[in-house]
Amino acid sequence: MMKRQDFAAVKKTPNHFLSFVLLMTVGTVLLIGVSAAFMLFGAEPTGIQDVIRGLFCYDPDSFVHIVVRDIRLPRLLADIIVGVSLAVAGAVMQGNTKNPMADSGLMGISSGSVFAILLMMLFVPHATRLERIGYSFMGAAGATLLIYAIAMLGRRNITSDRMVLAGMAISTLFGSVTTAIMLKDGLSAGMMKYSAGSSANTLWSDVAVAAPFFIVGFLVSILISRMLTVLNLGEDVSRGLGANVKIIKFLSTMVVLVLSATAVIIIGPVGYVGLMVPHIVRYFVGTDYRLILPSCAVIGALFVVLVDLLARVLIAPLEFPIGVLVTMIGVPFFIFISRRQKNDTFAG
Amino acid sequence: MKYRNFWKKMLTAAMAVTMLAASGCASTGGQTQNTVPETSQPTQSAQLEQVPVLKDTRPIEVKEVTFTDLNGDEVTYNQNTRKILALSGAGDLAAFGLRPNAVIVEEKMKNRYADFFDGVEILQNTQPFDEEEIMTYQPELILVYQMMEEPELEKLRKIAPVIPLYREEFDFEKRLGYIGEIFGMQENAKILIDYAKKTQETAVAELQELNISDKTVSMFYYMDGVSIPPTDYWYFNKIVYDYMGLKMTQTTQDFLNDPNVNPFTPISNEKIRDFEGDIVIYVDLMTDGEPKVPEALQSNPGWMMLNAVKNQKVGAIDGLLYAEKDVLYLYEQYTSLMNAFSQAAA
Amino acid sequence: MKKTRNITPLKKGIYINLCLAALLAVVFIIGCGVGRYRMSPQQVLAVLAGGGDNYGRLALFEIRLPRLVLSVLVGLGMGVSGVIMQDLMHNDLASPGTLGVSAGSGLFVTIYVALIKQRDSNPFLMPILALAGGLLSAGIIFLLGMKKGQRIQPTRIIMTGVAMNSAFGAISMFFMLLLDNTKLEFLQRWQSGELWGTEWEFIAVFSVWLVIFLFLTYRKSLTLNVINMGYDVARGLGVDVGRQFVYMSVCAVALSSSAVAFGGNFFFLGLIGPHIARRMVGTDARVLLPASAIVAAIIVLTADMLVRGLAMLANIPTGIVISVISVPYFLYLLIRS
Repeated sequence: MMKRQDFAAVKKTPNHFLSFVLLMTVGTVLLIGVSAAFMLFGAEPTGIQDVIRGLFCYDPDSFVHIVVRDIRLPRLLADIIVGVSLAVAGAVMQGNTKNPMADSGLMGISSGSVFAILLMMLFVPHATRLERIGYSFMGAAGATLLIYAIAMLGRRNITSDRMVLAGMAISTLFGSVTTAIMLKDGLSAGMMKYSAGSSANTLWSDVAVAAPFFIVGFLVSILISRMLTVLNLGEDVSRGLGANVKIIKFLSTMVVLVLSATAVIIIGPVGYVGLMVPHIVRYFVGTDYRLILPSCAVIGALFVVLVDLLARVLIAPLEFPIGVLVTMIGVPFFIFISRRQKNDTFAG
Repeated sequence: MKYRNFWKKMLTAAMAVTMLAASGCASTGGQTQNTVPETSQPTQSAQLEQVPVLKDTRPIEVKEVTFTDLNGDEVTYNQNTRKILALSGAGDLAAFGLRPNAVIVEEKMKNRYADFFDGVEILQNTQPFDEEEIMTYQPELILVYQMMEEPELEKLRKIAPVIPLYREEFDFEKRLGYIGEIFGMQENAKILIDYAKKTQETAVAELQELNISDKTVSMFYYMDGVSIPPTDYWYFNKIVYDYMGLKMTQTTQDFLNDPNVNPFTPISNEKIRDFEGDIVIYVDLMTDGEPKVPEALQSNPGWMMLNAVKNQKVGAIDGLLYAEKDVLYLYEQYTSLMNAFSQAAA
Repeated sequence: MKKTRNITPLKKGIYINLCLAALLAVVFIIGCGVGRYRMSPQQVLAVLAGGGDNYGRLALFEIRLPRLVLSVLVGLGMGVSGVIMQDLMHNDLASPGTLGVSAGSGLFVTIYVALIKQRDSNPFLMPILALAGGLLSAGIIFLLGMKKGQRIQPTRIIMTGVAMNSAFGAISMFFMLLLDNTKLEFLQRWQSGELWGTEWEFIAVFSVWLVIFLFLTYRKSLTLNVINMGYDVARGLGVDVGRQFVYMSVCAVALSSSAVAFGGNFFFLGLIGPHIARRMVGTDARVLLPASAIVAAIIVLTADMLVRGLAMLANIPTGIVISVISVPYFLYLLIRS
């Protein structure tokens, strides 16, 4: 019954395509606007001229130029990468687990990364940035594999509430062990800050490390978007249409892993972006992943940049933890979506 | 490992020197150990002296006394007991020559001052304590911190007499004098009080030589963001801004005085520069040896814009060393601050 | 079915309950002998018989017994509350933890520690606030999870609970960022489940409260059975579902919040206890309620025994041990179901 509806939606109805174009245009314009504001406003007062000069005729001795080019710009790029990654990973995850509530933060992926960082702080406190990224990645990968193992091992399709609870359980497990080690070794204060999430200290080098993973992950997601749409019709249908279900599932899982790990590395644990953005996007452009993913990218970037702008100016010169802010926005949304769900099982 | 050996060497060497110097005034000075002084370390701290090594001079026989503690409660206990358990003031007690059965102290500090904590165990349960763990030591006297809550005190009183120590008190005369009274070790107290006073005076005098007495100093630490360690929590603030009389920058003062600002929140990278004083000290809270500015901060553009960083004049101290203000650590506290200063002022 | 022709499921359930109770007693008694302060069984017996030395009496009566009793009480509260919530929601994943009720208590306690607590604050203030927080958050969650004019939708309530859980968590996190290390550590311990209310006066208040609500709950165990068969069935049998739902919910929240308030935050306890119990005695609330309570109590006792007995686990909150044990089991349940 559902399948037939979805099938109809796969054909790009002009209506959806129109909304897609509209959404992309408005989103991009807004993103540019917010990015400009992001570059313009901050703890240190800067004028439009400063920003333009800082970007185009950079003077390494001018403090304002450094603020613009070495502090704000990498942070802006980081926010964009995070926004795109989280939103696209969320959309793909919702697709390949057939679970409308999937989200890398809610699923406990970031808790795995926090756990890995804790182990690193404990055993190699002076690890280099690159090593830190590596550990964080491994932690995120471990948690992702766990989540997918649970999703795959389930006897029948796991319903979304169960999936969310599994994520919660995994978060709790990692969280408990993290707390236990923290209490044993008195790392509390430092870890608390890491668990709150922030992109404040992003350097060009971080962006450089994250960018290749991000680009590959994003491109692959776009490449498989058609197949994802087909997959969402149900595995039988997609087999009938000639798609290799296993390969798509594997690729999409890798995309989720790479993208959410990239985001966690840069910003720490931030939930709800991957949940909210795809839902908003689907509302406008329907169920075709070829339309969903690019829109998710734009809207996700817009959202994170906007929230981080708030985090920077809200209590300047101090930094508000962005993770807390996103959660405060995400929770009402989450409740809103769960209220919209029609029946007990939520099955997607 | 390398550093531990280094500290041990430093310690034994400096101790030998001190004992020669202090044996005149310390009537109860311990037996001089045969150590070859092989110090080759900065002459900067030559005038600062290691803490005198004192002995527990109390007789063995039981002596019941009644003492009025800082809360005004009367406590009756055996003044000569060796079965002491200390949830607070480990460094002060060790300097007195006391060797409690168990104390709360950082593992790292215990290893650094191994001789002073010889035969002293570390309590594992510290939040705030496990009564059964305490009972395994069968203490006859339990020393706790000043702020311990009444219900907690009550639990401990069932095991043994409990005396709270001044933990928030900076005045060595008051704090150490009080411990002296508890154990009837007024002589040791006097030696230690004089030592503390002298150390402080020497450090201030040395500071004069560095020619930085009228400079502003800023202290930073980094935990996924640069911030300023708030005054109350770290003893180096007291030393630098009160005893040495150095100044904070106006921005820092406003920052710390603002009740709406939580000093643990990171400062925007764009604003670190506003907090910079003439001298910049980095407080390393994660050190596993020599304190240093972590790589993550070294490459931070906001940090790199500090004049001190550009001129490579950032002094670094080990923050954990200043978590307690016990007299035992004074020498190291002042020495590493002086080293950091001379590096920063060079 | 054939097997149980001679013994009805109810009778079988009663027997199992008796066995569980015996097991609980055994674990309890073993618990008397476990602790950092070493005592031989003879010494323990001597103290129990009224003799023994000072330390022995102290260890047993002032330290171990209160903690053991508290463990049992927390288990009872959480176990029963979990069964009620699961039966009411027709969902085996409902529990005080997953529904966000405990997180509400957690938020109130965090705010209390961050902003109000003084050295001489009334010790009862914290449990009262925790209770208030739990009740309030339960209220919010039920209001948000229900739609006006519609029937009760359990999944929606659970999802709302999960969301509120993370919302409370985020607000708590914000306050915790403001704290110094001592307070932070206290909160982290409390949040991860530490048996802290081990004063006899707390236990007295807690147990009276618990007994009242356990009684109120147990009186309605048949109603619970009927509701568990489906809201429509229950309505057909003449049960005023809406009213009973509210009544049972209040009981469940009162039980779990008080357990959280006096014992600390044990996230998965209210979920695991009922599951294990259901496997043993089936779904009849008359035997399931006590069985779940006892199983949960045994879990807390055992976990706490590990913490107190093993030097490796010293200084680690009991709740963490429970989480580490129960999460894999929980995930297994998710996969199997």
